[in-house]
Amino acid sequence: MKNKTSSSKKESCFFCNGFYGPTHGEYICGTCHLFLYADECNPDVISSVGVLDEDDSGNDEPSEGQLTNEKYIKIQGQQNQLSSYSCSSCIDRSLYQRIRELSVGTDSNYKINNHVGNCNSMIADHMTRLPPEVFLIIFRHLDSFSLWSLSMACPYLSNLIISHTSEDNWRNKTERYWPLFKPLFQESWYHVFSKLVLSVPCKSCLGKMMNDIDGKTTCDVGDIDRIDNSRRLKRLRHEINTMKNEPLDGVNAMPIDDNYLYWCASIQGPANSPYEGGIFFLYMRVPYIYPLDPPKIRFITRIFHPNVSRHGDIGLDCLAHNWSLALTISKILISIQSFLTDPYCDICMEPTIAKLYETDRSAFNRKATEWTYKYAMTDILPMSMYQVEEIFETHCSGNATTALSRLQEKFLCNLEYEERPVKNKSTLTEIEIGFFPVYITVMDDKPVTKVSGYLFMKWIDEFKNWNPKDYDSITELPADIFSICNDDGRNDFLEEINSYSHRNLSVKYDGTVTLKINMVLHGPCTYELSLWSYDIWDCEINVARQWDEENMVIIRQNNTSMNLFRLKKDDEWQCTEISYPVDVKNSERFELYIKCKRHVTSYIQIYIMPGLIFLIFSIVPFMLSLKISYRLLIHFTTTFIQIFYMQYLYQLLSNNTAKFFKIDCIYVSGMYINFIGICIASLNSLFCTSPYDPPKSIINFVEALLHIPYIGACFSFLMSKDIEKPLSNFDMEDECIISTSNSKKYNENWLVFFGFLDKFIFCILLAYICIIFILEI
Amino acid sequence: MPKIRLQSCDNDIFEVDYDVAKCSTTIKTMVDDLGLDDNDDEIVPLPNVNSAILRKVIQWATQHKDDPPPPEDEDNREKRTDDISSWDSDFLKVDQGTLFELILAANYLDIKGLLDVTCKTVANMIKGKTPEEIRKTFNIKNDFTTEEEEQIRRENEWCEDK
Repeated sequence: MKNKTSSSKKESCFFCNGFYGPTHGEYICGTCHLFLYADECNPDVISSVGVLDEDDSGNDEPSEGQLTNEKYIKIQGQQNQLSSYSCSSCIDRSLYQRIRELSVGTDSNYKINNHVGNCNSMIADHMTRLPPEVFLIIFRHLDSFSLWSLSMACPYLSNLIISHTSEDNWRNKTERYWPLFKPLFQESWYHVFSKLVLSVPCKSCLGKMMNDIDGKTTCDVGDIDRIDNSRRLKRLRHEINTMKNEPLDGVNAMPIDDNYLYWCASIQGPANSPYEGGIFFLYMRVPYIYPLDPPKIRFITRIFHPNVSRHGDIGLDCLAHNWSLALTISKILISIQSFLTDPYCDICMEPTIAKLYETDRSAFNRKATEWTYKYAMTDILPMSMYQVEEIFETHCSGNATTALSRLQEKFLCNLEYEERPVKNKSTLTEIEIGFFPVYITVMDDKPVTKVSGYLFMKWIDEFKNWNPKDYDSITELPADIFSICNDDGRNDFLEEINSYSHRNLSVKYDGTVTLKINMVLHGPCTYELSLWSYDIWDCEINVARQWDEENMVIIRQNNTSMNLFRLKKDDEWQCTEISYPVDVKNSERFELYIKCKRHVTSYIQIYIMPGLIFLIFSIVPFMLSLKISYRLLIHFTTTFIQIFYMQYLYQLLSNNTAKFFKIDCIYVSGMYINFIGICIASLNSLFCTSPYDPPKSIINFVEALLHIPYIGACFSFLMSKDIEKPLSNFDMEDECIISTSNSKKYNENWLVFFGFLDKFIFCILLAYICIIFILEI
Repeated sequence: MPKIRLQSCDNDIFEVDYDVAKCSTTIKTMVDDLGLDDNDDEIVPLPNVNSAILRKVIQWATQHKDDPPPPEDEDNREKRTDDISSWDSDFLKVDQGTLFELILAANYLDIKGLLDVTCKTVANMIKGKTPEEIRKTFNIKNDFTTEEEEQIRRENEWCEDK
């Protein structure tokens, strides 16, 4: 165990113990790497030499006999050829050259290395004495990995490289080599790249991989031609489509190049395992004779697991001798994901880890969690690896004895970035924001409000629960020291919150996280909430520029009512209180909806007016017992007015209020109108039936029937689950919350459908009425 | 053929053809501006270059005097480094001190081709190596402290936020 942790700092190679040369910070020296992973270093040899390492998944101690003489000679021959035409390139430092270096020691590089040892100071001077412009030329010749390596070499170079390479460059490179990597917060791309590179188990293989992806390694074109590529491509395309159409939970893969030769895959750490929350990247090479041969898969994120070697190789039988044509890439990834939870310890890549797993499970879990946090959470943790190490050292190494500190290490490390992971995809989060403007002053010729306010958020994080019994019956965990995510600080308002606020964050044992922020801020008179990181539709809420005495009195009288915010442009709608129930979807942004009260006039306008108009126009003709044609005419006019009124309302509302008003009002008024329509039409059909007047009663009856589906749709919309209070209970003093979710959209579609149906049949009726009318005249 | 006399910092004088010397843009401009005649005994002083290096530079320039000027491409794409000719690679099989001196001299004399090929050689020495390996190769002292590392990270974050 100890060996493993310090292996990165150890100088001698894990395999040859320093015999074949220095390791340069890796666990394995270059010579051993070339020797053991010969196929990795020269992909063209794969098919001819055969599988070197996969067959013996249990043994990582290479014996001399493993690589037979014949194979060795073959490789050597290949390398000989290689070295003959690329002798100057240092990338192709082949095994042959290495061995020659060791035995003969005539290579100039080697000599220089020795030479350097003798006159340290002089050479060091040379490197840093180069002027920056020369360095820039050198940088231009370097690939991203070498550039990164160089930047890690010393602070001077680091500064130079960071200031002279664009963020976009690093971003492009990151997206090229880790296409599935999606960071959840803004950070310098150089550091993202750097962290990803640091999380790769074998750096020399990474350099190789990058070269492969960029197509710099000369690929045997004849090889492609020889094998019928179309079937392979067809199958791979099919697999990609399947993955796209039926995405698997926690597993993803995508090709990097056009030939589908190199792939990037990601596996999410399974829940309830120490790998939970991490995203592990894999690098895949799908051979040209796929599916006859299995793809070569390797972890490019370090993982502490008995069946994954420190080199990233996976000891899975279906990747070697148990490969079958029925297996697909996604199936392989699924099986890799499943063995993350159930390691197979009898035969494994890393016996030390297997032993730890079997003897001391908690220590294994701790170590695996630490590795997950260190290497697999680059997308959510903004810390560097050594910070994570520090946290784990102070909290997780067993020194943290008190229950409180154990809880803190368990739950608070990741609290700042709450957007992930959440097991259940839709967890309801409550957010309430309240403002109490205190006064308005003029500062620099601009009106400024001093506002005291609060922000209250509450959500359930299913990962953050514990049994109070295990932790000295602590049920609540204060977390004041941790600040909330400021997103990327793009809003002055949020910055102000951070600068003047008093925060209170706590986690309860059942996973409820509550956050309270009290704030006092000076701000402009107009807050555009739509600029927040919360998407608040197109709703604009303005703090009134001047409030009259009356409103101020209301604040003084009653602290909870805030008659201060009014919707822009429209005086008839007065928003008196805002709070935000939020529907959190996995890692997406919050969506906010406004909870508010309605004003009396609008209430009448929306709910009562249409009904009244309809009523008057329908009943008056009966009272006057007009001729049938006039009755029809009036009926027709009423329906027309009804439609126009609805249109008008829709326009009115869509212009200047939040979307939900629109939906809410239209549907509510639609329901009312149609209900009245049913009543009137059925009354008509009941009372006006006479032997000489059959068509009209039929018309009325049919119309009554037609209103029913529309009402049904409205009703089903209003009754659907997300509404916390049914609208039937709606009254002036009450508040209603309407949120739209996917189920709502479905209903909305039906509503539109019924609406269209209604209007369509109305047109037919209209035509019918016209005919009768003409006939009568 | 006009000859030009170059003087290194240790006062050795080298006589070279104008054709060879014009590889260096610095010398070329100097000569063109001064308008040296054939029989002029003017000496071009090069105080930043010592004799050994100057000899190497002249050797290179003699070899490459007929080369077409390297194409100007200012794109930021990574360039090839495996196209060093065999003569150049043999020529550059020198110790690091000389190599860096050559780079400095090429930079000072503004010899594009030489600068390019030496930089390529250095790039090749860097390529595919881990930071630790690079430090060992060039004997760079690792004077990063953890705080410093953090500092750099923070600074960069701040840039990013802006």
